[in-house]
Amino acid sequence: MIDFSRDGVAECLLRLYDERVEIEGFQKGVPRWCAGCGDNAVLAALQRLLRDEGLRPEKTVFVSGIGCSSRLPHYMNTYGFHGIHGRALPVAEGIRLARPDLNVFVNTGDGDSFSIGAAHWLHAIRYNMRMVVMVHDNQIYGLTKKQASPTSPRGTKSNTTPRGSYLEGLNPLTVTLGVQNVSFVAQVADWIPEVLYDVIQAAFHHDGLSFIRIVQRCPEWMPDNFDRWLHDPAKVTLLHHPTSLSISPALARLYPNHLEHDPSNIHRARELASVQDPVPIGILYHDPTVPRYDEILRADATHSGTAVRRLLDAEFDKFAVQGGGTRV
Amino acid sequence: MSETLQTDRAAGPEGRPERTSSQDRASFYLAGHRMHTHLGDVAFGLRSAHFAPFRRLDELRYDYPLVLADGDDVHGTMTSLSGLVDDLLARVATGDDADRLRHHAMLLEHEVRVRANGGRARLSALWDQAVDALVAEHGSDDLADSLARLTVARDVDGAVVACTRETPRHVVGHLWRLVQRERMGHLTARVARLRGALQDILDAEQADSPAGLAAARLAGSLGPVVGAEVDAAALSRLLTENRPRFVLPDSRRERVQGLLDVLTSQRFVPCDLEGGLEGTELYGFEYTDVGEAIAAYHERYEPTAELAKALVVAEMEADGRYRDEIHDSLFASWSVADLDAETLAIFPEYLVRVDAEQMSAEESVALLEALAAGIPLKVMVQVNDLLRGYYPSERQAHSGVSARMLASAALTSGESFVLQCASAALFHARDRIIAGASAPGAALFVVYSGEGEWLDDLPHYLASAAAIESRVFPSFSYDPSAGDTWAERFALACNVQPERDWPVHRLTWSGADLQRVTQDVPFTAADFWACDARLAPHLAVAAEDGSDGTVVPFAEHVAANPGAWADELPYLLMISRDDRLHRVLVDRPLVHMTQRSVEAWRRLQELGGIHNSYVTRELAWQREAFEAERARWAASVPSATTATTAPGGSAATGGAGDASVPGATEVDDLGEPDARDPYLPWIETARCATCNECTAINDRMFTYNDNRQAYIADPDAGTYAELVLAAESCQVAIIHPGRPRNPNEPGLPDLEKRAEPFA
Ligand SMILES: Cc1ncc(C[n+]2csc(CCOP(=O)(O)OP(=O)(O)O)c2C)c(N)n1
Ligand code: SF4
Ligand code: SF4
Ligand SMILES: [Mg+2]
Repeated sequence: MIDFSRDGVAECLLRLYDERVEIEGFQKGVPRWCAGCGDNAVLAALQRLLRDEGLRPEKTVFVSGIGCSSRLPHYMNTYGFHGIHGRALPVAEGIRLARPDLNVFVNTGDGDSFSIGAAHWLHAIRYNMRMVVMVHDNQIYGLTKKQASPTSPRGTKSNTTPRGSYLEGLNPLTVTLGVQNVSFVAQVADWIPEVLYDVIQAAFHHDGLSFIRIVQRCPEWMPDNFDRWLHDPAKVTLLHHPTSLSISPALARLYPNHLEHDPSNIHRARELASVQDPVPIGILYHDPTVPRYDEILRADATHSGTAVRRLLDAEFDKFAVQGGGTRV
Repeated sequence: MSETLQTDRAAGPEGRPERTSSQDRASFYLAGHRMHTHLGDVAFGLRSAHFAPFRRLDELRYDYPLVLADGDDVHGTMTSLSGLVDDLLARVATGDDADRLRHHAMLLEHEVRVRANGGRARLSALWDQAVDALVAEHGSDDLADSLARLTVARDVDGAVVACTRETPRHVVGHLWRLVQRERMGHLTARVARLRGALQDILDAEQADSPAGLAAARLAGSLGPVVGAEVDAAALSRLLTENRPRFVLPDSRRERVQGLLDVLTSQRFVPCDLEGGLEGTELYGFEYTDVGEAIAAYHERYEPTAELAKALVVAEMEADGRYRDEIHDSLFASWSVADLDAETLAIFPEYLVRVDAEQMSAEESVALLEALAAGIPLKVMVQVNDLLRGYYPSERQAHSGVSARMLASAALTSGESFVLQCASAALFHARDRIIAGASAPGAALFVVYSGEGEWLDDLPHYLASAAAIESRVFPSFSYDPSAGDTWAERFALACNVQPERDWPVHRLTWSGADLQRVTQDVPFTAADFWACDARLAPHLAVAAEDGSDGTVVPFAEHVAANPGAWADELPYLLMISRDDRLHRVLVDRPLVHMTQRSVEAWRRLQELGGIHNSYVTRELAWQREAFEAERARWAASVPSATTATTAPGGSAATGGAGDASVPGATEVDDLGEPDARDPYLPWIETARCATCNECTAINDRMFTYNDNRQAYIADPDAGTYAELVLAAESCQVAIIHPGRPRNPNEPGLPDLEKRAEPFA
């Protein structure tokens, strides 16, 4: 069948005058993150993705909450929404519904999404609207200068836990994998750029909400926290499978532990997600068939401003006649 | 059937049939003349013996009646009643009473089939009538129970279509309409979306204007509750004073308004109520006359181009990507000539349904030209009389392209979709009809209906099936979108035993001695023509006593192809209404007609890759070359063996398998040089986390590549101290400082010590 939705001429003309945007074109301002911060790696991977996928800046939006990680939209020369603490996801969902033509990315932190934003996190997973959600998990509140976050490992000394935190850290992967309608879950580390890029790319192509936990170094407040993973390649397990990612020979040489994992197997995904040492890196779970709320909700009619006003007027008219007592 | 001894022959003086003279037989064969009345006339109602098993069609389960299910699913809309009942049984008849259900379902299906012959009706209506009739007739509880369950499980309703003269026009029209609805739905939605987007552009300016920001308006939009607490006048001042205003350039406002006008006044698809022009009448797209459809298409060419252009420009406007300086000149030079098939594909298309017999010679030529030109016409030509334009005396009366040849003629342009088939095969051809209706551009469907009073009471289904089987009207399709080659585009689907000149069926009858006779008999073109009362003069019933001299089966006679009178008469096996079998003699004009149709069939076979003459010739050549090669090889075996063992080898083996190029340094994907110079500093670039540590130390020495990952651009752009510091700062420890390059740099011993862990 032919695609009647759009004709070739418009597309050709648009493409004819579309310049390719290079990485520098996606850069805005100078990042204010500390030198050495893992957030830089995420920014670089995202800019690479936008260039490689040929995404138009005006067709792309980055949404965030509050935190160091949430500053990312500032450095991205696209639409951006640096929102309120914990509310990146509802904003992103609104955008997804109102502007289905935009590519929606969400960058949030562990404090932002698992403390104050925890409720939104679970429901966003369940609603499965198409977007890429990246949680920069540095296991600390970075921006506010070191308070324990839900993912801080037990014993983390911080301004709020001067004697070391008492509780085990929350595992965001097992929680996410327990939510109804979960469709894409992955874990990456900011210092393995190849997998970081490949996973974000796979997530971008996923037809639903993709949840990526990015293990992110905060050299400022958690300087030694990631050393055991960073300096011992045996503490990382690279996941691969014909249906998900493959590992390049160079990376395979660097990291000796590889595991073939079929991401359609949710039970195995949950098992793997609960392993912290060695940390599994790659796509844990992927089910492209889960229904998307933004698809289900998408109305057939177009909602232009005039159309909405017209509908409202019609409703008000009814109200005026039937509700007000001036019945004729 | 049984063989008969009776013929309507004239008796001789002694009451015995007279022997037909050779002259009599020759003049019958050559010219169909009956010099004397010795050869028996063929009674009306005699038909080919191949039809015998189908005498009571209603008793059989076959494709008809069709059910055209309600709904928009073009691929699922068409089912056969039998298919529908089978589906139903697969769902319902699963328990212990499956056999009972199946039996009752067959009764019900038969009842519906019989009722369907009354013309077009709703399935639910026929079904209910059939159920009532069966229950009333048999009155069994079991039956009532089965029928009730089947009725509950039936989730399809729609039009039931029997095989009649009207069937091709109904079926093609129905499928086309669903495709058209989808096509128009897309265009309607697109027009509505773009109108909304364009209106929003104008509204945005309006909302930001002094009028839009006036106190009263703001108060109105705040509503009574919030409005009471907000000073609308102050808000209005705040929003209007000292604030840059968003104003559309005049050129853009005019362009947007102009586009809106075009989208609103177009007549191709409905606009949503509001804003749509009062009384704008939509164009019609269904015609019964080729010329009128072509004229309508030409008349609407300008509006088509206008709308096509408006859609393209509106799309760019809505995306905010229209730039006057580039696009103005581009669109100024846009002309109707820019309407290519792809652009036209989004517009509604034209359906013409016409009877071949009603088409004038000029019309058929105009049709072929329109098809070749790719005008988006879907034309269904219904053929009701295959003899027209075939039979010499008929041909004179009609000078255009004969309907039988129309599809073949349309093939030659190679541009348009072509389907030839007959009513009986419509069900099997449904996907190809949909393909033709959906493909952009022109499509021709030539369908034989099986109509004709000259066919006695032969049902349409049988007549049309026979036309395909006998190769008088073979079924084929040509789909230019299916690929680039004939093999991909052309299909000889729906023809039985396509590798043969005629399909061969086994006939069984009881002979004069009541013994069972079985014979494989081809179903020839003459078997089809012999049903046509107008050709009866070319047939004569043969005598059983052999008094007609040598008689041979028709197919054998045609295969032997005797040039002139060979003192033999070909015969067909036919049955009369009482199911008696007769040998019926055939004259030469009918042999000729058969030969012509079989030649046409062979040409189609070649197109379809069967007995292709080029392939056959190529195969013969290849075989010849292969045999010659083998002979040469056999003759030269001993010398060949010595040649390969000769010392020294041949130049051809030198160097093979050694692909490495000496001197090249390979760099693997981490950036590590294979033969690394321990003195040179380097970075494992692929592992760089873009953290800015090193670049912050010296951005001429450390630079990012295209992927924003660091590498050492110039080792001499800084000091060894900087290299060591960077290596220490690098979070991922991927910077290797190498050895100092400047022996005079201060503090080297200490620096070299610090560099050791990063070697
Ligand atoms: C409603 C609200 N509560 C508290 C804060 C203070 N606050 C700012 S950032 C932050 C935590 C951010 O942590 P995380 O999301 O992990 O981001 P990081 O800085 O670690 O990237 C907090 C509590 C706020 N800005 N708003
Ligand atoms: S405080 Fe930590 S997370 Fe924030 S920018 Fe600095 S290093 Fe990065
Ligand atoms: S310090 Fe290391 S990780 Fe950071 S940019 Fe330089 S090479 Fe890359
Ligand atoms: Mg954090």
